[in-house]
Parts: sequence; C-alpha cells; structure tokens
Amino acid sequence: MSFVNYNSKEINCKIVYFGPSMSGKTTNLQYIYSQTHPEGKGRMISLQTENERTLFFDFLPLALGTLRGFKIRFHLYTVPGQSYYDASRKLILRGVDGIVFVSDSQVTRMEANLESFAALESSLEEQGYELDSIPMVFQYNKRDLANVCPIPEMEKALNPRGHAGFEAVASDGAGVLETLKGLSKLILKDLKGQP
Amino acid sequence: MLTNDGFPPEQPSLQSLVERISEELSAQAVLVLHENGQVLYRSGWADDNEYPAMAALVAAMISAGRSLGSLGDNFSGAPSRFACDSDRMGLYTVAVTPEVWLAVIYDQPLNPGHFRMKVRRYSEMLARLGVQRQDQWEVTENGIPAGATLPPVTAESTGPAERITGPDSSLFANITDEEIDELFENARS
Repeated sequence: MSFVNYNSKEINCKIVYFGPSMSGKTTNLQYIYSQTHPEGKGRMISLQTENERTLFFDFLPLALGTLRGFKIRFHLYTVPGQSYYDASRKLILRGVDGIVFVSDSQVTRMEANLESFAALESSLEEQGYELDSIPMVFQYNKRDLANVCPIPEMEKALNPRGHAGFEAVASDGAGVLETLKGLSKLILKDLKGQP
Repeated sequence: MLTNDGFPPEQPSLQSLVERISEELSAQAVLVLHENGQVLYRSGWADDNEYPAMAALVAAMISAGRSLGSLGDNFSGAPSRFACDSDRMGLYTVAVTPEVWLAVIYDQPLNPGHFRMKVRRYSEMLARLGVQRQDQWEVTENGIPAGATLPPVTAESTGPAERITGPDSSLFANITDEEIDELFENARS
C-alpha cells in the first residue's frame, strides 16, 4: 500500500513489473533509469545471477517531483520470471500499489505469458489481494519481432478485464515511459479515491 | 488520535529518537522501515536518493530470512535480528514490531556486543513510543489516514492555493492528467 509521510510530505508507492522470464522487465527499468534526471533517481539495484538473469529483484527508486506539496516517490521492482522463483515473487508483491504485466509478444511465448499471469493471480490471492482492486496495466513487449501475436488476440487471452495496454519495444525504449506513466496515473488517482 | 493539525502525535518524538540513535551510536545512517521496504523515519545519509535502495535491500534480507525461518525444523522461528559486517562497516537490523524494523549502518564499533545491545534497547524504545501504529501511515480508500484531516496546503506547496480540509477530502482532489504529465516531464533527463 502507499505510504504517506505527513512529516516530510512524501508519498511512496511500490510498483512491480511482473511477467514471464525474458519478457523485458529488467530492460524496462534500465531504460527508465537511463532516461531519468540524475537528481530524480537513486541507485538501481540488480540482484542477478552470473548470466544476468534476475535472481531476486531489480529495484529502482524514482523521485518524480512534487505534486500539490507532496514529494512523489515510486519504488520500481521487477520479479524473477522463471517459475521456480515463486517464493521470491510472492515476497516482492507484498505491499504492492500497482502492477505492470510485461508480456512477450512472440507467438511462441503466449503459453509462458498465460502461466505467468496465472501465477500472478494466485500469488495475489494467497496474500489477500484482489486483482481487480490493484491498479494494473499491460505491456505488450517485443513488438519489433517478426513472429508476434496480434494485439487483439493478446488482449483477449491475457487482458479480458480490459486494463490499459501499451505496445512496447523496451530494448529501444518505445512504450516504456508511456507504460509507467499510464500506471502512475491509475495509482495516483486511486489515492484520491477515483479509480 | 491525531493532533489538531492532522499530524500523528507521536511523529516528532519518533523522529527525534531516530536522530538521537544516529548521534549516540555514531551511525552512518539509521532507518526505521516497514517490512515492504518503505522508510518511515530516517537519519543520516544526506543523499536523498541513496536510502531507498538501502531500505529495499534490508527489506529483501528480512524477507529472505523469514523464508529461511519457515524451512523445516533447523530454521524454526522467524529471525528477529540480522547482521552483516565488513572490516570497515556493518549493518545491524532488529525487529521493532513484526512489521517494522530498525536498521543501523555503522562504522566498526569498538565493542560489537555492547553496540548491538544498545540497538536492541533503542528498538524497544521505538516500540514503546508507538511506531507499530501503522494505521497512521497507511493510505485509506479516500487517501488519508483513518480519522485524520490533512495539514493545510502551505505557501511552499506547488499546487493551486487550495486548502484541503475535512475527513472526506481526498488526497489529490481535482488532480489533472496534465499535472501527472508534468511530473514525468520534470523527471526526464
């Protein structure tokens, strides 16, 4: 949940990038890090294996500036995508304020997308969250590849609830900031009770 | 219970205690953090951008330790203290409540045992002062702590000259998409 520090007038929100392995979650954070003013970002932490796969999480603190007198800070996390890191994913989802589901648009990865989304649903349920009550957006990543699934098909399969969706090529930054901005709006508007 | 200006009443004393801990232990930094990595109080480390990463890593350590604690009989029981050291500095983390932790980053003390005992005593003081009252930090459905009224918007506020009052006021009343867009534009390099 969001924390409001009335003493320092700060609002801290936790955003988790969820999705199957190799879908581009870490790449999203790396691009955001590269595009953010040095004063607005903290150190990006990546707990990775030797071959640069996310082991526990990536973390990027992002200070967006001041909104109506409150400093807005987003804490961006990724989860490890591989199915055997289920315990780590559950830990990282605790206290989540918003979720970006990063899907891989390749036809061959649709099954992995669906499995990952099912894991997200069950992890949230286990911790007492309702998926519908958490601000969420979808990112359809890797749109530059040849064998991609059409967006309507991806939306039908992954996003029947009709959350906002963003096409992206995270490796060159396309759609990355739009995705984050889309979720940020939902979170901040949720704070004022206007979902 | 909140003061007339809407601030949790224990907040000044908790912050001053955190500063006192930092001073008396000659700590590099002191963090009081929620288990999910959100910082409630802090002292030290002037760089505003550095402490969230430390808090996230401490929270990860706590989470991993707890998971270890749930693995079979050999690790039975959730750990309530974590420590790591190098030759030059160390980190000692103690549970204040099941959800709130005190983390002290320090240069090597002369007497580590004495140092850790002091940290544990300070964690007890924090607990007595009511740091466990999480409800005063959490955002409720309408964006404010239960029973609280928001402090008035001051001249330093960057938003419109709007006074937010009353228990039914929401945190960002009338916020616009343009304001949110501006936030992101300002953050870009």
